[in-house]
Amino acid sequence: MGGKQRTVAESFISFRFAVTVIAILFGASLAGWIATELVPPDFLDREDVYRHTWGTTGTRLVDVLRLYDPFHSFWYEIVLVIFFVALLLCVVTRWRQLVLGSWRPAAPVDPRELEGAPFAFRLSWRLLESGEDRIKDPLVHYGERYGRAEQADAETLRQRFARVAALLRKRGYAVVSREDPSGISFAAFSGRWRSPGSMLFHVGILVITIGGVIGSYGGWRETMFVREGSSAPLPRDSVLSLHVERFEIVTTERLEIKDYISTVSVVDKQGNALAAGTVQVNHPMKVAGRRIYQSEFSVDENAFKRARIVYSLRESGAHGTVDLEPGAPAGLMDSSITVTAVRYLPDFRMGPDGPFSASAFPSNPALEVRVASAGVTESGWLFLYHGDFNKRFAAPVDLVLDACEPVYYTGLEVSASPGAGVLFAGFAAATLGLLLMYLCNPRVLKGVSGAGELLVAGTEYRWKASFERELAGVRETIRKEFGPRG
Amino acid sequence: MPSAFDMSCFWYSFWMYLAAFVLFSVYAAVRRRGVGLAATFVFLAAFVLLTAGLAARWVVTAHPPFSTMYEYALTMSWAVALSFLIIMIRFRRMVLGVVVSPVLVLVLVIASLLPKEASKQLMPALHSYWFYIHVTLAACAEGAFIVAAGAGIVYLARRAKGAENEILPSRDLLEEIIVRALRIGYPLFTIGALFAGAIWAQYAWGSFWSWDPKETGALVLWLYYTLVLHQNARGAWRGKTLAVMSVVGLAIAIVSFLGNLFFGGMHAYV
Repeated sequence: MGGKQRTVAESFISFRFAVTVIAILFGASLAGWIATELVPPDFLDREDVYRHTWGTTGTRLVDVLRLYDPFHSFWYEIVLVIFFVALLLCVVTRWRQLVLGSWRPAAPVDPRELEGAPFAFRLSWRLLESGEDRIKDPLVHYGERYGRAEQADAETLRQRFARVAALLRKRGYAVVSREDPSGISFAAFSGRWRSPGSMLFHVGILVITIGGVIGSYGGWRETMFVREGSSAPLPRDSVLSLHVERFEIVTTERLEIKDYISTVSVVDKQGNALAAGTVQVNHPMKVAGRRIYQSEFSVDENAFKRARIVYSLRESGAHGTVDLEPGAPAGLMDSSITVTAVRYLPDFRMGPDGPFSASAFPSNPALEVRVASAGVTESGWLFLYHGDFNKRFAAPVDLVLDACEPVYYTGLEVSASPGAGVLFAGFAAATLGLLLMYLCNPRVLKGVSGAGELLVAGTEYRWKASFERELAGVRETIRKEFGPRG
Repeated sequence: MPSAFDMSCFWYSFWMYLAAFVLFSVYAAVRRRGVGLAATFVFLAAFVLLTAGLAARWVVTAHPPFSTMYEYALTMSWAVALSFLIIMIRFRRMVLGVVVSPVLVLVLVIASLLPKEASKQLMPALHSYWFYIHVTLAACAEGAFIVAAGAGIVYLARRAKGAENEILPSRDLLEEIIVRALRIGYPLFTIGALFAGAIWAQYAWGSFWSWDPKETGALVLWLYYTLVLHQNARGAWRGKTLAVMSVVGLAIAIVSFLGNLFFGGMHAYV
């Protein structure tokens, strides 16, 4: 590879390029976020209307850039591909450096290596032991300068260093050292899991991206509405069908919804149940590689299962309850009066064309009944929660609606997420990586414990101000350890 | 009445944070330690009241106070106040209260405009332990971003006033607070808002990601802070730039937070 080619290749794996790609992805996501708020999702259905408002060029621009669904547009996908490639290059080219490089820093070969370190201190053994509070020892300084450096036997050097190393270990540092003619050079390091954590986090994001792509292209979801007591074929399956036994809306006394529960079974062509149980919000059912979620519900506005009314005969004062089946007349005890349930509305409203249901939710359930007495038939509405509005019939009976069980359609979402396992693995890796990155505080001290003085330099740190404080603490601890009282 | 109690706590803590802001401002101006201690005491009392109010609401509703935007705002402001108290104990700089207390007042003003009704019943989708993980971590993360922005504003104020201003913390310290706050907020946001949110969405809605406006807002915010931290790591965005970026980040976070009110989508809880 030529020099120019190498430079181009290096620029693609540089930190600067990675940051540029993140900036582009941020910009693209921001643009997409804004676009989704500006361009209505029904753009394609009403393109002519928008052409009238925005003009041909504007509409064409929205169309070509797919601004009505920007996160599935070609330009956003291109940005995602670039991000993926940059991240992959970053991981592939840096894994050795990140995982192994920071694991065991080397002790300095030459004390001059430490000269440029931002934080460093020197302590003269002679001054330390005599308790003098000066920073520089002129004897050491000029002794070294004029070739009359202090001498110490190897055992003394080792003993001094052992005490320094013990102090550093007490502060959470691991220490490696090497003896050479100028003294004992050492490296003390802490928080070394940070770099592998960073690597793991990046790998995790990469895996999440892969899982997302698999899910995008291999996954699907479809909603099916099934009436209680009936079956429907599972989407994208020619063998299995789903039977809904029952759908229930669990509410509190104040009609606040607690849960939606569908009791279902999945059966094959021979009628064998492969799975049976309940599907609730947050508790999907897993069957044959797909998941079934409780998603929506609807009510059959022209049907109900049964209703119960409380009646009171005005003449005799007798009263009781009677269960009504749709369209079947029911006689009231001790009278010739019959009541027939005609129609049920879950959320009764009165419109210009007569009563209608405003929603599928039973906010204002009402039952239309037909009362027949002495050859006269009359109809009227009974309300579950607003009995004051109940029809007062000419027949000598008062009716109150006590309960009404509608016929529900449960809305179940069936989906397959082939990338789910990959995504979970990515989440786990990235989370572990983040925890390692942010719980570990990497610091590296390097130094030389010589015959005349101890040189310590902070070569790697994360927080400048606190590292400065920590280094001052290390210095003070060593002073106390080697001082006259130490 | 416990519900009246939690509202009383809210309003008392609101006024006390406001009083703390005034006292911290006086402290910054006159540099009297006694004033600073008084401001800190009032701030601490406001924090205790807010904690009591949140606890009372938790007892009344029988679920942690995260289910509405009002409760989320209170939890977020609680996290901000706690972060400030930790930072103040750690760095012994009372003057940061000049910025943190008005930010808290602002968050509480926003909270005061939101519906405050305490509902015992969570909507079905919220019946999940992922809800608590997702919302708690997101609120704490956004609290940390607010602290970063606060330190950023102090940094910019110090820069504007000149290096001789000794009452304000040093630039190095402020920069360290910004980076520390971002580095606390970022993993919490990543794990809580994005990962836990995606896993919960998979269980509740059958899809890890739906490009819902709130989800997209969280992604934009995450990418923004990813960019800021990478730039900071390579030494490009430091000092003044970092301070400005921390304030811009807060603006994006506020748009994302209030997005519920006008974006709609599956996160449209009020």
